[in-house]
Amino acid sequence: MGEKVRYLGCDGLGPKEITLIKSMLRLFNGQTQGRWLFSEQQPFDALLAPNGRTLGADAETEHESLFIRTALPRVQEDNPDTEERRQNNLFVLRPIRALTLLEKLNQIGLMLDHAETQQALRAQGWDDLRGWHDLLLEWRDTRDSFMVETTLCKFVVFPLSRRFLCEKPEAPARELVSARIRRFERIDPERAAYILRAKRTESLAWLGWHVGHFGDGELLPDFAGDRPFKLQRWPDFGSLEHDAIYVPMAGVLTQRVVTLSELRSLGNFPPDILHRFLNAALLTGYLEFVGTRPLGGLFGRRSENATARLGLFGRIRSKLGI
Amino acid sequence: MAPDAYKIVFSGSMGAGKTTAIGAVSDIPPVTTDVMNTDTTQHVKATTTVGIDYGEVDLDHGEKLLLYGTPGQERFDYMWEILARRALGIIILVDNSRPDPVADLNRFLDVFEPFSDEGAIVIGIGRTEAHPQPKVEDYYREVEKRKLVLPIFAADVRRKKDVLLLLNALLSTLEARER
Repeated sequence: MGEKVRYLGCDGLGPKEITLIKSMLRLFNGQTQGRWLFSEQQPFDALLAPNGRTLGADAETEHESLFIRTALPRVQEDNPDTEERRQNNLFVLRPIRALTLLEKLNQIGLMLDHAETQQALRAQGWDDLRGWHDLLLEWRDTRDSFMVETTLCKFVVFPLSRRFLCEKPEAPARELVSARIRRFERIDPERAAYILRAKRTESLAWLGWHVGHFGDGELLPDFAGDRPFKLQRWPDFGSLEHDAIYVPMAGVLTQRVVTLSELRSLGNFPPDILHRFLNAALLTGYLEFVGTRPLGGLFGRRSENATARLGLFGRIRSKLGI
Repeated sequence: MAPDAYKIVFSGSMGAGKTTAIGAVSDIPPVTTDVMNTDTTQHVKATTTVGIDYGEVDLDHGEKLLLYGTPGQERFDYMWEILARRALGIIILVDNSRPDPVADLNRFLDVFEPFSDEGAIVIGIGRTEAHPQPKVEDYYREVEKRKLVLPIFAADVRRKKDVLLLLNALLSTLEARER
């Protein structure tokens, strides 16, 4: 995977300032998001131009700041709203400082990468990439292995063998799955097979679980329509990060087929935690939707003294603090 | 057993940590019948449980939760069934450092599976950090061959929270049946 080359142009700046910017870009070599080169002619990935009120006649000082225009929709408008520009933080104050320019170019590089990923997804018929959820769900039933590059590190995902490889396996799960996806690409099957043989990979269930667990709690669209589902396997809570209340949730879902509305009525499960659990379970592949509910309905095999037994279990829990 | 006493059984191969697990949650120091281990073909630990381990949790108002550990050696396996009768559940501890821990699990499930309707069965896999193979997934696959859906967790019973996780799963299974 070669480093992406980006082009920075200037409009309305004096020769001294252009020379300064060129020298800064040479200094930044290898330190920016993508590799930024100075370009005299269009097309540019970003364009540095004067902005703000006029201070004097000198072309190099007449405006107090420079504005970086990019191909991003929010700053491409002919008459962009000034407040919106400020929120994007795409100003560089004069005199130009190297660290400030470096920071802005990194920021723009990330935004462009993201926009391009979205564009690639749309070209494949995907309306939006919200993150790992979508990648894992969309590729769940395909044979194609793919590389994902996030702001933290690279992953290779092997959907067919349900494995993945991570460049930074020692990083905390939350950081790994929270890093924003910058780009992805399919991998040649032969290369994928080689990586699978040569490298130590991990279960894709681990990745899927943590994507759901550390997600925003917004229920995945698969749960729409109140279709019945069941948990086919207990998640390994010994090695997966979890909330304590996931354990009773798994207890219910491994015992019976329920719909979301039934599950909500069964226990006092906080909605956001319930949603994160369901998303995690779905993304591991352990939760499966079933066409019909087996005879026997919602309730399990309650014993005659169910209330007394539930009371006993509650007292044991209370004593053990679980 | 008194009518207001309930029991949970810890089972597993020799050296899997049954005594340690009971000690992690018992209100009393576990009563053990450890003696010098003369069966070093099974495990090299210095002492081993030839009878049963016993611990208890006082639930107040005279109620007690009794914790039993089964003897690990196969020559005492007739006791496993006796202990499992009328138990709330069985926690099977598997030592992943043993030569064939999956076969160990199958041996225990052969005995305890008939109790899975009556009580809950939970499986803890120990020593996975130093012995990552087989993986927990491999145990799931093995259990699923029996059409069972059981909690199987990596667990280090020296950590109380891991023992509590196993108990939490056991109680959650029982509660779900009653809701």
